[in-house]
Amino acid sequence: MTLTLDDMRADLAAALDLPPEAIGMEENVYDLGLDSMRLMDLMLRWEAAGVAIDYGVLSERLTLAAWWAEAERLQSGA
Amino acid sequence: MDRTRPLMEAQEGLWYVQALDPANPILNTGQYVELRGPLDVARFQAAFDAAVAQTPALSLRFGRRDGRPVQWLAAPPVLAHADLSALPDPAAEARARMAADSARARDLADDPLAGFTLYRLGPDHWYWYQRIHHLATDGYAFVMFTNRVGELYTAAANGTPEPPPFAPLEAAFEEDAAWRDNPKRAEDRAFWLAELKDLGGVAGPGPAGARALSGHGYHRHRIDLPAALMARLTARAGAARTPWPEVLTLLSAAYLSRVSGEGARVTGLPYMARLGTKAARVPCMWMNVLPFRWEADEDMALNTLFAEGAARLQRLRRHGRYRSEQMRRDLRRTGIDERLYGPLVNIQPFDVAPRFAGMDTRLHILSAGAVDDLTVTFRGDARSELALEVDTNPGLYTAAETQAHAERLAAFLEAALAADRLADVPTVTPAEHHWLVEGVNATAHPLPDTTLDALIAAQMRATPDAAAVVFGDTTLSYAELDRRTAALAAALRARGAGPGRIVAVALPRSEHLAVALVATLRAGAAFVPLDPENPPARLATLLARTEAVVLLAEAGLNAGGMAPFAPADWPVAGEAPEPAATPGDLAYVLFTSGSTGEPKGVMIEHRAIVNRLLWMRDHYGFGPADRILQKTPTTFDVSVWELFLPYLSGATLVFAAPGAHRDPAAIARAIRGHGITALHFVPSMLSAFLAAPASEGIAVPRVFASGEELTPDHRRHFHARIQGALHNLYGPTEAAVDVSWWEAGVGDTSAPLPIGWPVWNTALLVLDARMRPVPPGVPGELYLGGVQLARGYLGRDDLTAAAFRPDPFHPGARLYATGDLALRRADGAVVYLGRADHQVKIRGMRVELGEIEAEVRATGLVAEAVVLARADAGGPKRLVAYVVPADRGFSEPALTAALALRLPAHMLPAATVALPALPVTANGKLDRRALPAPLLAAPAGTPPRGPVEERIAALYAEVLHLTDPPPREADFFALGGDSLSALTLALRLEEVFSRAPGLGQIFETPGIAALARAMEAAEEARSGLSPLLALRQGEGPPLVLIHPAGGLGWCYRRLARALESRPVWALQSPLMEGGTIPATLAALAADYAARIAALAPEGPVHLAGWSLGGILAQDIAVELAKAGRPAGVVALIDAYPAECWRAEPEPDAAAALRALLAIAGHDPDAHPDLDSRAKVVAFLGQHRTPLGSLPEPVLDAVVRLVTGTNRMMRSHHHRHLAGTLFHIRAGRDHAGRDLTAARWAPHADAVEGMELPLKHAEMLGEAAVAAIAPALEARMRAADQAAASASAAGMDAGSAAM
Repeated sequence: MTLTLDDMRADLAAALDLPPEAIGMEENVYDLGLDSMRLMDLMLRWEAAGVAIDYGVLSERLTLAAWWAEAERLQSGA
Repeated sequence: MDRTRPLMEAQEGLWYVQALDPANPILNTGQYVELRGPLDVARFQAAFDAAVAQTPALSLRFGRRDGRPVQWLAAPPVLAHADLSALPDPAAEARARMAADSARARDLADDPLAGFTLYRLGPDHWYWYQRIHHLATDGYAFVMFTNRVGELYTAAANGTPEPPPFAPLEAAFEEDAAWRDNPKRAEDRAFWLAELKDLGGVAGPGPAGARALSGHGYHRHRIDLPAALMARLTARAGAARTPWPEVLTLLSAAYLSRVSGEGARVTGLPYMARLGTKAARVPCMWMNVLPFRWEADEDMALNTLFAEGAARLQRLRRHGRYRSEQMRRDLRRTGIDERLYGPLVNIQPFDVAPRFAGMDTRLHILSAGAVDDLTVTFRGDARSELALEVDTNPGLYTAAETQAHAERLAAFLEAALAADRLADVPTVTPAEHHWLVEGVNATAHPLPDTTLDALIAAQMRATPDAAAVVFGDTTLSYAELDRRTAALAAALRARGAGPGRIVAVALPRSEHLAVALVATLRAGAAFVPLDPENPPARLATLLARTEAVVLLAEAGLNAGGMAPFAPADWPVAGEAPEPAATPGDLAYVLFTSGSTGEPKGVMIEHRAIVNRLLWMRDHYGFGPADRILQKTPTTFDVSVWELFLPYLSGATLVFAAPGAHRDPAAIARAIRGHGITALHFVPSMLSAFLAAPASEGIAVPRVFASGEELTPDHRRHFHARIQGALHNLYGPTEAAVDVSWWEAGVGDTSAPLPIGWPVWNTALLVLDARMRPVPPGVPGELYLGGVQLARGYLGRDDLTAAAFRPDPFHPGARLYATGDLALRRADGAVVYLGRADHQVKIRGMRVELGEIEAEVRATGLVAEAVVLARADAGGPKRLVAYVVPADRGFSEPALTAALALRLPAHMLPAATVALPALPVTANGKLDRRALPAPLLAAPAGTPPRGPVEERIAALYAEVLHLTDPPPREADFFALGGDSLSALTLALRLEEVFSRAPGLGQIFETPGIAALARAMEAAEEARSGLSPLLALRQGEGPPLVLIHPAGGLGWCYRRLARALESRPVWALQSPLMEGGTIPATLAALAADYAARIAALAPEGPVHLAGWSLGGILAQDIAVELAKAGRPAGVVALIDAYPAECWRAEPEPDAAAALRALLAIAGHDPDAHPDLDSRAKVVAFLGQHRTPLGSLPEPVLDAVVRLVTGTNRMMRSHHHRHLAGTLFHIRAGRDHAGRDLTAARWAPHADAVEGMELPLKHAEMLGEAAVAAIAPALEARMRAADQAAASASAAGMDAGSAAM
């Protein structure tokens, strides 16, 4: 199983009730309205998809770009 | 971090909370993880150590540097191990130990702020206990740490990789520093200022006016929500496209709003504030509390409400880093009474048990920090579990109320998740609903289907010779009343009176009034009482509106046209007409002065008033022996029972003389002269009566009060003066006089005094604006139901429809909306809270005038008090106190000063008007409109008075950067002070005055004058001359230090401070307070032993004394041993037995005075020049010792004591102490005299000696204390342990014998 950038963007957009194109790579996801509960849901969803990003790592980083970097790192290492 | 750092923003508020009350353990957050399975202890230890290494916050300590709080790192915490598996109930023991550990406040500077213990309960059963001070970590960090131990354990067990370590604490400091300069911070500030604009007082579910300040503990009620509810929650949340935690937050806020009193609805939402910051992965204290100002639109479709509410919450979180403490400063709401939010709602979806490989785990939360008001917490993921916890401040809620809130909220969630809109959701549980509507109103009672005139006629036939009516010298027997009313009734019938018709009665009190009313009823008509003093035009209007067929009045009355049918013209003989009225016909019409517009004619039917009167007759046991005083004007409906109850009981109606109802002396004369057994007072008149000399020693079986609020003050004064029962009745004219009763007996301690319970066939309901029952304790509007309700308002169907509404709980029935605010107590009794329209706000804060009135009265300076909020001459609303001064002591400044100590600044009256008496209306009620406007101009400040106030004013100016010292009335917080500047002020006060008022005192009395008084009062108490002076608080067996020759124990302060935490008392001579002492030392010792035994009734007591104090200590120990008390330490500090002194010359007065120098800590030998009282006192004054300011009589007592006790000592003969003496000798004194420990050998089993290279006078000085304190401490601890094991052994022996 893999997780693509488009998957991540689509999941995030769904959580925020926004169209995927509204989410820029460098946009602050918290300014878009992300909260801890939605973030937890996203983490669980991606974990189920086979990419277990640490919640702390996700919560420390502000942008989809930074998340994708971590997801890519995990997938390349696996 | 090897140096001190300032606090992070998030820590400041908590630090202040702890500084406010250092002994409060509430900030010890704690939990334990229950582990079942084969735990690998070494692996656990390793995981723990590794997790601690990643979590430096656990090693933090806190202190002050240059007045500012700082923190630093100390040694990391270690894991303690305790194997309890051999005990009979290891789990209970572990829980007890955890509770004891959590209940101990830690010294932030000296104690480790985190503690961990692994309890072994059995082979595969463990409790891992964790306690961390909230300043070190927040709830999220706590979870991070706990889970990390589990993750590391699991990784080691499974051989899987460890998770990435936490970010360093330094990252949080960087983030905190960067945030202070971040432009986003200004944006957030602007957002919150707009969000909280014009915020008034914030409501909570607790009692009105109570202070929401966390105590040392909390109540908790936990409910594990059922799976069905979780399923419904997640489904409903999904349907509304809203995360379920938001749904819970919104519904909880809606519930809390329902059960809160007057004020703004603001829920506090704990918010982790970490996401997207460098602190995200730092376990530390970072959380914030966001004020959520929101009131649910209960008519909105619930799914829309969820979506809109969730959007609001999201918006708040985007600005969620801005601290709520900072908002309070921005909004100048830093006083305790000016909180930003009420109850908290805390959703903890991640708070599940940590995972440990191979183990089953359960998480038990012990404490999550301070509970200022009420905290609703949801824990769990809403899939496997969801627990609802309600934590409350025990100062505001009982345990039962806490449980009720939890159960009610659970029921509210259940109902709301199935509802379309909140308006349809009840506030109370189904069980509560039944109790509130039916249970407390189960008043059904059989009522004869008859009329008032039929009941009176029956009595007249039954007891014709008994006295029915007395007026002055005139007495009418029942037969006479029968004859005269029959004749008049016939005449009235002839003039058109009959059922449905109205006869006007405008007569003063006399037997004619009695005849007129009964005759009207016998004619089948209803009476309408009119006041003959009214202007003719008004009389004419009322006569026209009632279409009265006859006016019964004195001949001369000008009623604007209608001619009176005067008593002189009434026939005295005649046949009574056939009774014609039925229970549904009108008995009387009574005009009430409506708040606006024209008077309203309330129509009461026979059935209603018959119920009221028969209830009263049976409930209070009225009978033929009763003599009931009629003194209420007939235009006030209380008169109805006075006028008719006698006839229904075969009793006698006694008319008070005209005008007597306003004259306490006349009332007292009537009671005494006529042997009155029952009468009525309006409470304000009751006060006047009780204050009048004439009421002294009155006995009257039943006194009824109604018409105004009866207070606990009334009750107390009544029972102090009157022999008899006091009954509080309540009811509007619209419900036949009274609908509720309460016995305000001697033993009643209710405050406020309730209006109580419904009468027969009557319901009292407290409902909200949508006519839903409100829970006990929650204010609502009082509605009345049942047989006593009026038919309505004469000729005003519109007003009738507005006030008499369909009963939503009983189809076809009606409820009367009283417009009175009330609440139901937990026991069901109803408490009147005032008129719905009498609410007053000052500076946006809700102010209960009754509360201020009670405080004004409580000063004891006034006999009566009324407080109004007036806006005279178009100015702002100001509180004005109208008072009737007490006999002595009253002055306006004295009252203001006393109140300043009792009330927050915004509740202090701006002006006081002293009156000889409070004005009352014709009905005897307080006449608010007759109260004069205060003459005082705007309350200009007055300059500080006296050196203390002046210095405090200067400090206010310094701390708050004011250009001039503020006036003495100025309030620290109103001047812009906040919690941190209050702390600075506390520190500066400590420096300037060498005594600490404490932060709490500044919050209690923020006014300059009030603070000065409080500091003086505290100093007086501290410097107390009382026989037992507390030198140190603490737990365990006390140490009592016995005064030396001067009688004062102040010299022991240094020693007391140097000891570890246990109660330390100084025993001082009772002479200091003007008491007397016995003539011998043995008797004195016995007296002291009794005082000590009263102070500490059981267990060991340690004794110590310097000089004469040591001699006394030995003898007191003998006395205590005689009383069977276990031995404590007896320490004699350079004291020698009486026989050593018999040969010495007696000290003269000068020597005695010089003893004062020693008591004050000076060496008398170093000051040979101080040879007179004046010189000694001057010296002490210059050296700023408190002794220098002792009042003259106390100085005299000191001198007398020094000489007197010396004499007593010389004649004293020691008794043998079956125990050990610990003797400490001053080694550099006593040259050439045989003063050694050995001198005590004959007087005790053993003497243990210690010597210090000091002089006698230095034995309580710094050097001496440094040596004595640890030696004494060690011996006391050993003695405590010996006593404890002796007592345990005794218990074991006892149980074995059984």
